[in-house]
Amino acid sequence: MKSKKIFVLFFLGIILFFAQKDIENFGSESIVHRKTNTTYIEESYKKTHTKNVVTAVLADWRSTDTFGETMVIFVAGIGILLILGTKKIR
Amino acid sequence: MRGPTKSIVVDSIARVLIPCIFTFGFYVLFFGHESPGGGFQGGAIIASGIILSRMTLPLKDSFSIMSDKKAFSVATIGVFIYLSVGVITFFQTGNYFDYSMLTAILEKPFNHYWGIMAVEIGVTLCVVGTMVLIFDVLAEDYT
Repeated sequence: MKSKKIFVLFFLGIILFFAQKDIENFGSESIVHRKTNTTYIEESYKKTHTKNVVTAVLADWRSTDTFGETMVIFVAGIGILLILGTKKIR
Repeated sequence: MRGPTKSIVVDSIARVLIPCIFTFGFYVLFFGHESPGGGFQGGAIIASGIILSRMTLPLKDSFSIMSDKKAFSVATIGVFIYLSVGVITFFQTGNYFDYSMLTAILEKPFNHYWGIMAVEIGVTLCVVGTMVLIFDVLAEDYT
C-alpha cells in the first residue's frame, strides 16, 4: 500500500516538474502580464468607484466566483447541521 | 462550553470587549471599499464576537443577539440576498452580476458601488450564520 502511494506521488512530481516550465516568469512580457492586470488597476476606480482594487475585482468582475465561495460556506453549514445537529437546533 | 465561565475576570472583560468586536466587524465590512477587508473578513470578526458572547455571557443574553435556531436562517438570508442581486441584474441588463443598471437614479460607478455593498452584506450574513451554527452544533452538549 505504501509503495503505491510513493509511486503515485513520484509520477505527480514528474508531471508538476514538467508543468512548471510553462508558468510565465514574474513580470515577463507575456499577454497575461501586459493586458489584464493593468486594465484592472486603471479602470477599477473609474468603473466601480471603489478604491480597493481587490474588492472591486472580487465582487464586481469575479462576483460569480465569490458566489461560489459563499455557497461553499453555506453547504458546509448544511452538512454540519445534517450530520451532527440534534432536533433542538434543527 | 456555552454559558458563563467560572472566572469573573474573563466574564467582565468579555462584557466590555464584545461591543468593540462588533463595531470593528461592521467597520471592516462597510469600509471594504477603501481599506483591506470585506464580506468574509467582517463576517468572521462579527461571528467571533457572537461566539465569545456564547462562551462568557449567560445563555439567555447571548441568545438575544442571535439564537441558535436563527443562525441557519441568517445564513440562508445572506445567500438569498446575494442570489437576488444576481437575478435582478440579470433581468435588467442580460448579464449575471452586471451592476451598471441597478438603480435608475444613480450614475454608473455608484451603481457598481452599491451593488458591491449589497453583495458583501450577503456574504457577511452567510459567514456569520454558518460560523455561529457550527459552534452551536459542536458545543451543544457542553452547556
